[in-house]
Amino acid sequence: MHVYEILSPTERYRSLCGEYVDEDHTHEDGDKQVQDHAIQPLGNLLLYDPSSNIRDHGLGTLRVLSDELVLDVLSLLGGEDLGRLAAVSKSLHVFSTHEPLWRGLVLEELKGGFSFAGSWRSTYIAAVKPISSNSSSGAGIGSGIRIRDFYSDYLFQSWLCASLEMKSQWLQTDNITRRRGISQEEFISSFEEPNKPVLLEGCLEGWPAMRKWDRDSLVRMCKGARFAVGPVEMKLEDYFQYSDTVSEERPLYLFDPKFAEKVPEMHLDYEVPVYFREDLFSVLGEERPDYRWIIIGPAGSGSSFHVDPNSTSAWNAVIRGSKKWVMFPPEVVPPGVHPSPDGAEVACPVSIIEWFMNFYDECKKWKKRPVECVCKAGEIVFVPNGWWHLVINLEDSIAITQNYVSR
Amino acid sequence: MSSGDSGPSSSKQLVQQPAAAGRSPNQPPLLGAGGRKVIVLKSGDEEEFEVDLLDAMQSRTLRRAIEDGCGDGPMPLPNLTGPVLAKVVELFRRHRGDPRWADELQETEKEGMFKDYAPQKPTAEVKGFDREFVSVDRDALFDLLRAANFLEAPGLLDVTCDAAADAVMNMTVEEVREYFGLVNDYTPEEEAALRKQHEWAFQ
Repeated sequence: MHVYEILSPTERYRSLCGEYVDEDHTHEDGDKQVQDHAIQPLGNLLLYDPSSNIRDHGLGTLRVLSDELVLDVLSLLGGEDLGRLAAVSKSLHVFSTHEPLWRGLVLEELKGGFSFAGSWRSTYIAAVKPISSNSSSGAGIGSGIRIRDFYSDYLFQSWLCASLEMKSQWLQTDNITRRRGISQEEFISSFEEPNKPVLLEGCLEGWPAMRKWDRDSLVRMCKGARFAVGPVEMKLEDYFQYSDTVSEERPLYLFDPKFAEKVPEMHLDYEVPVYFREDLFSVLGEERPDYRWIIIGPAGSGSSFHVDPNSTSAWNAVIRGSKKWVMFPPEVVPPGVHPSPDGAEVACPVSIIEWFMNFYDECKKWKKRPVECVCKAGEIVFVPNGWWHLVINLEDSIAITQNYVSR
Repeated sequence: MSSGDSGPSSSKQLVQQPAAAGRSPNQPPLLGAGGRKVIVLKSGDEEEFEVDLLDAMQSRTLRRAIEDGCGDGPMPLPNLTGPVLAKVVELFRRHRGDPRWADELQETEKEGMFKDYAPQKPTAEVKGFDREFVSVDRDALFDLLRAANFLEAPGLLDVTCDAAADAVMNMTVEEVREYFGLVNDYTPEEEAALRKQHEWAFQ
């Protein structure tokens, strides 16, 4: 469904990786596809005549603006305006089909009531202009149009980050303490009281969720219920349709604190592990802040660095899939993270993948190394209060997490 | 406000800031100290503008320069003309305390210079000023957009981007080409195909 290229995003990624990113991904006809790719990093232009950058011809007086600013202006326009801009020039075609613009339009205009059609742009057109999109579908919206010689670091980086996957060297370190079948006393004395993370194995065997919660059964169980997904609420089947096909930098993450109220059966399918049952928060009864969430997301979704609020500790149980964790103790602010002076707000300017690309290696040299692990289905990570943590799903994942106030 | 005081013709003398009175002319701005400080901005055509430091800090570009110690003498801004800089300086003054940029400033500043400083919601007067600010012809709007792009000032960016988007909204393909003076690099066949594929946008 991509407009100016016949290659799928994955194919384009592979073709580019052959030349620019990671030799592991090279494939035979990589070179040809790299040349055909629409957007190239600005550095490549040094090899050619700078005036050959079609970005500039096709922007006119807008050419002096940064890519970000051009996109800021376009983000204020409606779908029809963007559709017409695509026919103005090749350069405006590239800008006006930038997926995050269409993601914004879909979430704003359709809220959670959309059926993802392979790209945000197609989703918008199919939902808002159903008749015309039917008549013009078929060989793909942009067949016959070739766009080359568009050089832009911002758009290239944005597209690259959307297609990058976790590298194996980011997953190698697994230095968390693992325990299986420990007593409550040992958990308290070795982990809870000293405020240390631990990965608990083998304590989800009694959960019906471990047997029951595959995708189909969840969709049946949750029929009609809408779950919080970023700024919108979505039905589970619509969310899965989105998460199956999407390839973007910050995938929408299903993160719902009211799942047990919405679908009481879900509440019956898990129980709080024995280590976490004494919860001082529970005296607040109905008044307690949100404290439990179901978390569903595709590979690449997750949470960038944060500290859980209200001095709570947390446990996170993976039911399906797996998650990479990176944790720093309370006194060590992770690289690339800028908490506000009062600690209330955290500014982490980059996406999770960007953090790994730009900062992960830096903390290898630090004295206080982060605690890292891959938590697989059937395992629980204990996050002690005040610890910084980043989590990214390595595959389609389903998890339950609960925050609590420990003794 | 009257529309006259935001026009380019009003920029032939220094913009007077009441708080600057009594300040020694060569005194550099000091970060972290209390009280109000001013810096001098110099346009490409050699016009100088005295600007409250707090106002100048709305611009990320100026903020970086000030933090790097470049605020001691007149700060040259060769790619901005006097009339454009006059308008921008006036917008900074009107946007003082606007939460659109003040939040960011409070997050990033380290010395506690603005710690007692409370952002205020833009008033109707400020919104009126913003509308007036971009009620200009095409070329003047492009100048302001370029200035916003260079200065990276959130309030200025908001106002100018809104105006640019308003201008383009509902334009035909030909009008957009004319407006931005850009080259149509499609072949007639490609353009016809695109128009057909984007039929829904042309109804």
